[in-house]
Amino acid sequence: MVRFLPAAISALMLTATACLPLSAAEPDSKNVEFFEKKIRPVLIDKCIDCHSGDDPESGLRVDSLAGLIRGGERGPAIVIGKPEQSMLVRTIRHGELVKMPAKKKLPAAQIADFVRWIKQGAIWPNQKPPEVKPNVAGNQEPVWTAEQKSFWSLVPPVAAPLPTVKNREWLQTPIDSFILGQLEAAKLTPAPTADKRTLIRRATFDLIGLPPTPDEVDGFLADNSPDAFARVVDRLLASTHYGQRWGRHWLDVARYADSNGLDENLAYANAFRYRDYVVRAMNRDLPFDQFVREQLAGDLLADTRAASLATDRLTATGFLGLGAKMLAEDDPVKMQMDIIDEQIDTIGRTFMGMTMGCARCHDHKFDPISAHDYYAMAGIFKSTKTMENFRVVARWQERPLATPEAERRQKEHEKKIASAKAEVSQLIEQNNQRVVSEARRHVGDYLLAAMKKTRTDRLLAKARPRGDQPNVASQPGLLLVEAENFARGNVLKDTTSYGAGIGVLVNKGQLPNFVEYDLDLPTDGVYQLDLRYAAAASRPCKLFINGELVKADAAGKVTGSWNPDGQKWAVEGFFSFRKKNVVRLEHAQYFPHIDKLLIAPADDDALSTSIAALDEKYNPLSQFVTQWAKYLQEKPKPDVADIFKAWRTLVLPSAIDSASLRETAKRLGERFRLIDDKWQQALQANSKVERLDDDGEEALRRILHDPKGPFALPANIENRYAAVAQKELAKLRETVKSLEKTLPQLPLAMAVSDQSPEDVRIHIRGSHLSQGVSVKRRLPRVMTRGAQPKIGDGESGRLQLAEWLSDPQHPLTARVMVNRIWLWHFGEGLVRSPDNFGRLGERPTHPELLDWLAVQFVKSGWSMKSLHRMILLSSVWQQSIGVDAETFERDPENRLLGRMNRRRLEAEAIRDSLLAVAGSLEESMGGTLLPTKNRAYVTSTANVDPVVYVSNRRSIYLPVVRSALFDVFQAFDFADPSVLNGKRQSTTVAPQALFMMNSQFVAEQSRRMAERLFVEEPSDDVTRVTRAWQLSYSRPPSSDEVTFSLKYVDAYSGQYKLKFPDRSDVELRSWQSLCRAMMAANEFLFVE
Amino acid sequence: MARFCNNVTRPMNRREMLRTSGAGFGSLALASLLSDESSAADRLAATSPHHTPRAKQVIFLFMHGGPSQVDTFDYKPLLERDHGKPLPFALPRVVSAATGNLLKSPFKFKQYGESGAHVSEIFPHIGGCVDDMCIINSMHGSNSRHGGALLELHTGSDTFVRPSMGSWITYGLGTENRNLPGYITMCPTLTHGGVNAYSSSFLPADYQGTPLGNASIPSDKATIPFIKNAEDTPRDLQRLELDFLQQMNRRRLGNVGDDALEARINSFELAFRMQTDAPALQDIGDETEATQKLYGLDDGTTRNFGRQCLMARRFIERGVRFVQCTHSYKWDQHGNLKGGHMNNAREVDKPIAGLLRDLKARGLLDATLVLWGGEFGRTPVSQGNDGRDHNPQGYSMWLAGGGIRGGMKYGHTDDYGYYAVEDKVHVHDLHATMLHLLGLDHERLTYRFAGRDFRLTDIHGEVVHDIIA
Repeated sequence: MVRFLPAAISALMLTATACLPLSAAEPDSKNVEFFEKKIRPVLIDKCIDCHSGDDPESGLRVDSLAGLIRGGERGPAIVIGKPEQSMLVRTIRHGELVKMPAKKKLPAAQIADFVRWIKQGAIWPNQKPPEVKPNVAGNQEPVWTAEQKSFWSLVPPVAAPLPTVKNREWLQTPIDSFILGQLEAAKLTPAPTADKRTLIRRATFDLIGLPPTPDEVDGFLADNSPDAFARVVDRLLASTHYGQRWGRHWLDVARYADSNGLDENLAYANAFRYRDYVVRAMNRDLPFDQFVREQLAGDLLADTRAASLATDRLTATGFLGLGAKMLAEDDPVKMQMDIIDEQIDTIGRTFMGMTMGCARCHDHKFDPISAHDYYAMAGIFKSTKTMENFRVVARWQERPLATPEAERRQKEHEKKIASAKAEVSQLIEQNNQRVVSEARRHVGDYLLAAMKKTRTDRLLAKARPRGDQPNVASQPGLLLVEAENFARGNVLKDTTSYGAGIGVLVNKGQLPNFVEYDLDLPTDGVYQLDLRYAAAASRPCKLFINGELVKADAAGKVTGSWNPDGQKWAVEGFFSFRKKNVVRLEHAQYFPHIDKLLIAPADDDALSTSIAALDEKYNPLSQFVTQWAKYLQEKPKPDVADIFKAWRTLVLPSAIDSASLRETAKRLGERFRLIDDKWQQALQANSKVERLDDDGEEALRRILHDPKGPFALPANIENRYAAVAQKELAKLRETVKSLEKTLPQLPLAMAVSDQSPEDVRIHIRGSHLSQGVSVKRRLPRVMTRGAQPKIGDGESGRLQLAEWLSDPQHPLTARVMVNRIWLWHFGEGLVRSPDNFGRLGERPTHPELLDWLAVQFVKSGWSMKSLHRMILLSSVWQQSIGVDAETFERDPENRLLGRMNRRRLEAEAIRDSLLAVAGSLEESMGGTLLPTKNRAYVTSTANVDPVVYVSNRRSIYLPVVRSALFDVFQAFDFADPSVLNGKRQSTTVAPQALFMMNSQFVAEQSRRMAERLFVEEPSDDVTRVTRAWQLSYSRPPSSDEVTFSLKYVDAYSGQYKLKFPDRSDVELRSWQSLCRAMMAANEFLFVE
Repeated sequence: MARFCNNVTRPMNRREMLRTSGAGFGSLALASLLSDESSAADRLAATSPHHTPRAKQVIFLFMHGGPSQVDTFDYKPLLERDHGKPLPFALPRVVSAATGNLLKSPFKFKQYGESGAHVSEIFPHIGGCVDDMCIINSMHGSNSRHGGALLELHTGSDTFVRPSMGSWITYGLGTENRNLPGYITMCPTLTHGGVNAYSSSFLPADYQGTPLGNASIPSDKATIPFIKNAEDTPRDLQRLELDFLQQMNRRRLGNVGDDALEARINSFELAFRMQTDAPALQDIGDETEATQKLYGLDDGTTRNFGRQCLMARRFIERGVRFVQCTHSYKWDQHGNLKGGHMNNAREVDKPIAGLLRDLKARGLLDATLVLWGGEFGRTPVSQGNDGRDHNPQGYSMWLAGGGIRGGMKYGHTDDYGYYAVEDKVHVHDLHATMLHLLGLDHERLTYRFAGRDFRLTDIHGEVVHDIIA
């Protein structure tokens, strides 16, 4: 929005013209002219609309030099003479933080003008560089008014005397006096007390989130003693289901989830420990103040060193780490500040109902919380370690939960693994040395073998598959063999399935697959071997010639398909054959579809003859040979060039007298052996010797010992170990493996710890790129009322925060919690904005009651169970939902609580009730159902949601996956687990109906319920219907309802039989349909 | 510019009061006293916007992964000329990965239509529609990672979970067809925020996007959750059961009377109708062969996305407010730029052009705003040999229909296409403009949660009036 400020503009214009003649008195008229022509017009044109007047944008005025020097909330706009330090320059250059003018950058020339202007002293006619103090960004902390400080929720609660009321008979607890007081003042009467069935149903859902069983209902109805209901309440409070119900309530405000959500949805596979801690805490009625302390600073509490306490308390701090985090944020500083913000916002609202997060960008607009307060808290959390790192993808911290004894055992075990591993390394080292030392004695042999390899490679490079040539079968000297004509083998021949005339080898059942051919050739020599085969996937075979493995990946290519169109010839290599040969192919599993073998004399006669002449045995798979061949082909280093000169000249001609080759190799081999001897002697004399004295000899020694040279350790060196060494190695490795397997896994919990303390600077408008003054770590001023606890230099301040929040005098902690408990009992709080007790929140409908309860809560030792008891035994809670039209008209929102609210069950209670009435609910407690490994992606890039919600356990144990929430929960208003939420929505949307009508889950539970009815009431339709009613609605049906239901079952059966005359399940199906309808009915889903 | 945090007193109309006062029974009871409310729980009823709308419905074609602007809609001759030279200006302070020198586009650009807009050769069909499109070349966002950027594009926030734009729009306008969800997202991605991209967050669940399948499910298999009975019960048997259920509910209603109970009765009827309508809607047998061909349903390459586009038109025809089609996580070419972008474009080019032509031919384009784009663009400098890194500093999106000026390009990046430099359009501005076209003032479309009023554009956003016809 453009704001026109004519006065300011005209003032500026005026000076623009009027001051020109005066400029003679000012410095250098050239500078003045520069300003008037280049600077002032731009300021007027582009900036002044927003940055002038009494309330300029971001506090910056650009209509005077003073304004620029003083600057705005981000600090001074210009520093005279220093354009690079001037905010103005960064801004018009469109730096990262602020970009002005926002929509279009100034032309480069104009930006240069501003740089020049500031550099040359920022001459502004008629304005001397005045004595202006530049703003220090974010320096001013607001002073709160008395009114702000005395806002109702910031003053510690005081218990007022109970109001006097007329209808004293209605009073069962002090709570009732406050409620009735206001009702009487409004001339309203409370609704009648609910009947006993309604009461026990309501109480059971309230306290344990399940419907009462028919026996429980009957028992209560039969109990006429005055404390019958109190006993029901006590029974429910003592049930382990209580913790599951109320723990789940707390998890809403703790924004609990089993995955990170947001961007990188990694599994929080250890979060469940926090959830189980909460359930335990609820069940043992852990005093709420202690519950607060443990979650914020469980690791720091004085008596936590006791091992029995450590586990729970460390786990409790998971509260701080559970939040949703942007784990892939390229700016690590921003990431950290965002995580801290999430913590501050959550703590502020969870415990205090204060939106402290608002003060990240500026002092809170409504509540007396300053940016200073915020960054003082931020310091506390900057000094707290929540994350292991802030890389992409970042890693949150987890800490082991173990007794010192368990940790000691763990360490010992780890030591054992380390020493077994050391043994393995040592054995490998020894044997490697043995193999290489031996090889070094045979340089001559390797030279000849390398020669042979080089020549064979050369042949291979030129070779084309001979089988491809036309009329190959009739060419003389070629041996063409159909693959199925093997001499020995364990495979089947298939001559039909893979094309007419193509016989291939297929698996018969025995593995490995092998075939052998007995082949006769006219003469000894080097021959080319081709194979014709089809393969849609690579199936490399071992090729043996006369018992020797000569190729590990024969027929290993992918030719396209398994079918005839994939049949192709390929050259497998050049190998030495004798007159009589055994050729063997072997594959650990299945062969490719081999059709033919072809053995042909090598094309290049000269080369093949020269190879044949080198009749040395060499293993073409030996890596030493390969390495030597490679070494000899590289350009020689100058210091050894002479040695191999002769050898190299011998390599070149393809045909050469093999005797002279052998002679040369022998001489070279002996030379190397001498060097090796010499080196061994030198080592014996001095184990620390580093080289041989003679340069020439040292150069040769280096060839033998170069870790990247011809005797580099081959990858498959272990095959060359002695058999006994191989065995020993395998055994040792087995030991390592089994030790690793038996390593006890210490449980880990998401937990925080203190780290080196540091204060944080104010971030102007919440940006870490624009920082103001540093703020010492402390607690919000307005609520500490001058009594700041001391935070030592070595402490984060988290402990002080926890103690302050759980202090009986804290104005908010008890109030906020009793209000939450009230809300979870009535559907509405006394303050109807449970997460906001600030100015924008609602005012309490019953302020005195809220305060009285808060005081009472603290007095009772912060016992939640006492509070439940008092509420459930009150007349106000025991009212019926009331149908009095006048009361309804006068208090439509039931703010005065002249009746009970009707409430729809929460998502979990609906699912748990379905399981309960079907008789399928599993009662086990704790543990995790998340199938994903810790820190692994819960929703993968393959877009598959691996979490399956098939389980009959209570809903609190189903994984809560952020960003991919269980769709049933989502449909029934489960709280978004990315942010805390003290009050769930209650919507009525079609997906809920679709779930009830069509889901597998409801189909299954209704079928089970029908089966259960037949088991429990096998003979009689009427008692069966009655049972169904009692299970589902905690009441028997009226006779009308019985008739109506049975008529339905009949009608359904009739229709079903018509549709499916062959089916025998008509009875079960009809009753299942009845059960499903009952489960979907309003009476099932609502509590009155 | 309105500073939103200051906004303490805001006139609330009755509907808004109903929406915001807790949405529990209190509000429902209150609603029953408001005689002008047709149904208490009818939060989805179509409502009148703040001003005369140009568009009534939205189709968002989301290209997950981040298509490269300089290889699609932002023609940069200088990038070609200076290929292989270093970038002559500084990189952003924060980048995702190390990059190299300038990398020219492997694709040719051609001018299309009367407007003569340059479009890459990989989009020959979309190129043929440029006279109906406004290509924004100066988009920019705040986050260089998929998760943050995707969230920002869908919700306006790159840091926190907030209601998605489809939810805001449905909240603002309701839906025109009560037998279908008001907000549908087809084959949404489960990664990089998953549901957050279509969640209603703190808005009531009514405004949640309804997913049809997800990115791993072919579009012809994607359906509304629980739309089909798990036991395959015949329709008339189910009707019988439903009648019985409704009778039970009505008896109860006679006893106590409550709007919430009434609303549940309605919701079951709606579900039953939806159950009939939605599968019929998904059966595209009634489309002519020519239409199916137009969307590329006759070709294996284009069939999957083509069906999403065709479904989008069918939903729009039936009054669904906001439809999103997702071409999932394919556009992230850190390598193999040429092959990857070519294949991706091949999959979507014909279907998208088919959609635009079909909407136009049926007279639907005027009131349907079509938006195309990814969560960010890509760097004009290379990553590895033949890839580009993420780039939120400057990239392209385009709009068509719904009051948009066709045949124009808006805004500029620098000579090489790295930074938006002129007529810059932030994601917030895009949101503000979309809401404006729908008749909604982005500063007035608010929801009170946790003690403050939230809006899609947070405290930002300016309507880009220049692109409105």
